[in-house]
Amino acid sequence: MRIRENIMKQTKIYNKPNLLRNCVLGLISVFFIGVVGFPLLWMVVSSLKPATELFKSPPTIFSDTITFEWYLDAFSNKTVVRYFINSLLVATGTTVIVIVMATFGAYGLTRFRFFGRKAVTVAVLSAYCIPPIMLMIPLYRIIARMHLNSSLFGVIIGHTTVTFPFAIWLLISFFRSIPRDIEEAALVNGASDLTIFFRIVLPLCVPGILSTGILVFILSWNEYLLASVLISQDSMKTLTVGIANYISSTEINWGVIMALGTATTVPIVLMFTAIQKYFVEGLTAGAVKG
Amino acid sequence: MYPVDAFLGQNGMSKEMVMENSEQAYLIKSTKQGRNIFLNFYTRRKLLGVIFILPTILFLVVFILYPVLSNLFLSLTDACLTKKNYNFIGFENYLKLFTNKMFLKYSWNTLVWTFFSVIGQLVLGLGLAMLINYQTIGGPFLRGFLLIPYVVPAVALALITKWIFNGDYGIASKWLQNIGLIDYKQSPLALPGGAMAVLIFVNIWRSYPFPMLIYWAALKGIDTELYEAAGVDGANRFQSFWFITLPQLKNTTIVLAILRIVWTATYFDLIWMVTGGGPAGSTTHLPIMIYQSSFGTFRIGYASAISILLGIVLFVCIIYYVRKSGDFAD
Amino acid sequence: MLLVFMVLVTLSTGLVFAGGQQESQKAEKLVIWTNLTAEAQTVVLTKQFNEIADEMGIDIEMVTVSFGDMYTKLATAMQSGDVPDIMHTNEGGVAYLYANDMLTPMNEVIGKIGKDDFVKSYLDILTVNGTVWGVPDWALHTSVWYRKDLFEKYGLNIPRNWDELMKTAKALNIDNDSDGNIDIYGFAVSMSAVNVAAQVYYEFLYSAGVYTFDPKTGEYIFGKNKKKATEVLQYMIDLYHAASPPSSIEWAWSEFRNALVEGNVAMTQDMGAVILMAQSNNPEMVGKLGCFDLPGVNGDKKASFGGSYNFVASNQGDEEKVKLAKIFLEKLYTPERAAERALSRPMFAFPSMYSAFDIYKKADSVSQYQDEVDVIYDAFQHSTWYRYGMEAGLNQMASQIEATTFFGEAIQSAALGKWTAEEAVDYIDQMLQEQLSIIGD
Repeated sequence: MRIRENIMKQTKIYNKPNLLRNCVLGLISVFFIGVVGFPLLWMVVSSLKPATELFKSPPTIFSDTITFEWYLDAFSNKTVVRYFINSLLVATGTTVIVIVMATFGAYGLTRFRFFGRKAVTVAVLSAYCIPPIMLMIPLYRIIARMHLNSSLFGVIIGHTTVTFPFAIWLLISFFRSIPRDIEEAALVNGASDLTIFFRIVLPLCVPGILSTGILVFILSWNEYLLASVLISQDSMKTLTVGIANYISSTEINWGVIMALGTATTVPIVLMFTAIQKYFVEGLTAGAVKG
Repeated sequence: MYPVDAFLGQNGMSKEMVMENSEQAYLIKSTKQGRNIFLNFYTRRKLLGVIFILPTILFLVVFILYPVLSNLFLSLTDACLTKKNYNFIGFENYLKLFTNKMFLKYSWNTLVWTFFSVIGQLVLGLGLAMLINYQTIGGPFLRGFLLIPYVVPAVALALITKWIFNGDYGIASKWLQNIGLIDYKQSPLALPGGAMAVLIFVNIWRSYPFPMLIYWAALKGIDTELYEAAGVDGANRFQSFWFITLPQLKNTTIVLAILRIVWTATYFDLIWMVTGGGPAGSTTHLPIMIYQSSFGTFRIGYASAISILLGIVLFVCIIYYVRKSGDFAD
Repeated sequence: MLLVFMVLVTLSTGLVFAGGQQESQKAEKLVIWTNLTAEAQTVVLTKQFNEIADEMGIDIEMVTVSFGDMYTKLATAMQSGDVPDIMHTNEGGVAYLYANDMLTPMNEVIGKIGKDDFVKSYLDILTVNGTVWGVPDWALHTSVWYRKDLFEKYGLNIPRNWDELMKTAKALNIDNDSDGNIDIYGFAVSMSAVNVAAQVYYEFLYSAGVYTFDPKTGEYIFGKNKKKATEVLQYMIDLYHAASPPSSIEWAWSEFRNALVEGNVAMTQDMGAVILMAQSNNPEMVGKLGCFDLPGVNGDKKASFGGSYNFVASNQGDEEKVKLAKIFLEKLYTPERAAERALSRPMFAFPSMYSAFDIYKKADSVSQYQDEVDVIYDAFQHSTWYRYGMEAGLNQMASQIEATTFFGEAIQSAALGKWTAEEAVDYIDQMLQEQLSIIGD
């Protein structure tokens, strides 16, 4: 409530009609939209240029002809299709595991009081800060010992390690923002804890859980380091690792690379745009507190 | 009438307090009815809580705590990926590191990379947070658009970077060549200073959205009365930014800076995919050194030692962060 | 809700495992790894493997492990005991497996295929004291690929020593529009830290007769030859400054091949892969490209940089399995099959058998390059070629050079003027010795 009032007041203070101010802000906005948009736009444009235009010096911004040959090239390659499927499976698997564990975990940490609760919360917070590069070697050994390094499950475990702390961190703030009145009432009414969790809390948290899930999906989809270390069989590689290999391979084909980059980025950006509202709410709710 | 209401009426407690105490309320009700479930209830709640977070704890122990300890142990051995056995060699790996002149160079690179990336993204983040805070026309669109870099895959960004900074066909290289900043057909990625500058720039591009969002939330949380008071005192916009906004954002900035230092110093993907640490090792930072030691020369003991040294510095940051965000830990 | 979750978890786990493991019902199964990941090559391999498996009535599992992951994957496999029955890999991989005592001798198999049908230099690399540890499949050879049309236009001849090379390179720095900027550079000296810098440097080193190990005694001699190594590096850097695009300091294979194919450089070192790239990206250029061997310092070339792909069989399985693997390999080496495998990467891969080469030479994809094919095949038969660190036979040093970037870092530092050539060579020597001590342990 307080925040909303503040926004309204701030808006009142700063938004006195002022043409000059609006123009300046508008220009700055356009500038930054350009800076953010240009590299992405350039990737898309490049993926649609025929080879003759692609290797023109100086480069042309928009080419006269548009071609989809690079996309056809990229997706007629069975390995590339395999990479897409792998990434999809890994990201989905990771999301499901992380969300189940994190939902229970976040609920447990926000709604129950027991010995060591604070310690666990602190541990989650610290785990959030532990970088993948430090987990890389031991994880590699664990996965190799479990003989999982030629299945996607190894990568799923790896991605779970890096996304889980973030997911639980986000979910904790979502759970906190849900008023406890209803749960209290239900509890007093004699509803069992599990009933409360499944019938009352979960339905209320669907937006939060869903958007956390999509974020985990995106993080897993984008992850490179662990995926490259934990998988060495070519047919089991994820998209990021596959494309990275493409860049350093002996026959780089810029058109195909740009097409693959576009195909990797666009779905992710669209997904993110869809859940942005919840993401902003979740992150800022936690942040205001912290 | 539920006992809660009765409880509320009798003691005049605030609603919040009742909520906190509803477990007790339930107990009162139960005891009144003569069921002796006092212990039972608490035990059950605690047990259930533990069950709910059991997967979390298990996971943290197996996949976070164990790896960290395992790193520590490995760093004291001569473990090598190509050999089955390893020996305990004490601090030899650390000694080797301190006598390796490249370690100093790579540490310095790490410092440069982290310092400029973090400063850049915090300043840009704050600037843009203020922009979306004040922007009236198309505000939500602007905010949404500016958030996009947050989810652009590092691999896509890396290949865009390599493409637009290509010496022959890269559009950005062309611009730089035209204004005379670099030689004809040169690429900044082939120059030691240039490569680092490009990487830092790209890293700022991809990582400002997080600070922007957090700052945006923090800006909204600043009490407007402060600004009103300042307005009455005749402070101009810059003064109110300097004397009100910035001090109010101090805590947010500290927490953000720590978080981003930890993530930037250990961020591997972008540098690896754009320059691989080159040219001439000018963009090799410690994570790349760790990677090369593990999967280049297979000396995982040595690599663990680097990772522990990096970890110690970051651990201090992490502890500080956890304490700073103590509110959050509840 | 829980039900939905459980179903999802089960489903995704099931999918993952279904993707990861395909258990076979047949009793006999060979696991084959290959480092070749390019589609044209895997298609041919898959086809041949399946044909032979059907012939033999066994089951096979082909796993592609890209070159960059090979050593890590092998290390893991060794620790967990999942070594493949057959592996298709370069000498680095062979050396690694050999050093870890994982290989079956191949003399018998080679004898059955016909020892005399193999080009001798291909077998020599894999031979230790008379025992051959693998069956060579094909090899690649470094030459200088150049623009025939430009040589003609400017009246230039093939350089016969390093001075001439430098002059020719400078003469080919061409400014088409006289705007003061060079549009075509004479000679691309590529120095990407991953592999490429080391490969280019080694081609110069070998031409000048500088080796890592003494080819006769196997002793480490790079350190003793530092003066010469420094001169070679200095020449390479001078050539870079004189006639190479400035950004070539970061160029890897794709960049320098692309530069030649798109007409930005007039010469570059390559292994013939430019041809395939020209055919797909700029067909106009196909007829304009040719190759010659990098000359020696004074015209007496000592050796050149090359590499080979080989089939090896593991000694880890039971007797039956090893026998099966040997029969399988024998069947792979009909002239037609060997030629088909090499032709999946024309002009880059040259078959190890004379009988296969006859077929290779007549193939459509190389018909346009009869002269070049002869130049390269002649080099394979009559001159010496090594992969870095392999001058005295199978040596794990190749893997250490391949998987690290210390060569690249030193060479780039020298090219950028941050180090002197001498300092760079010192650093390389120091790192080589350090690697040596790790291998030696």
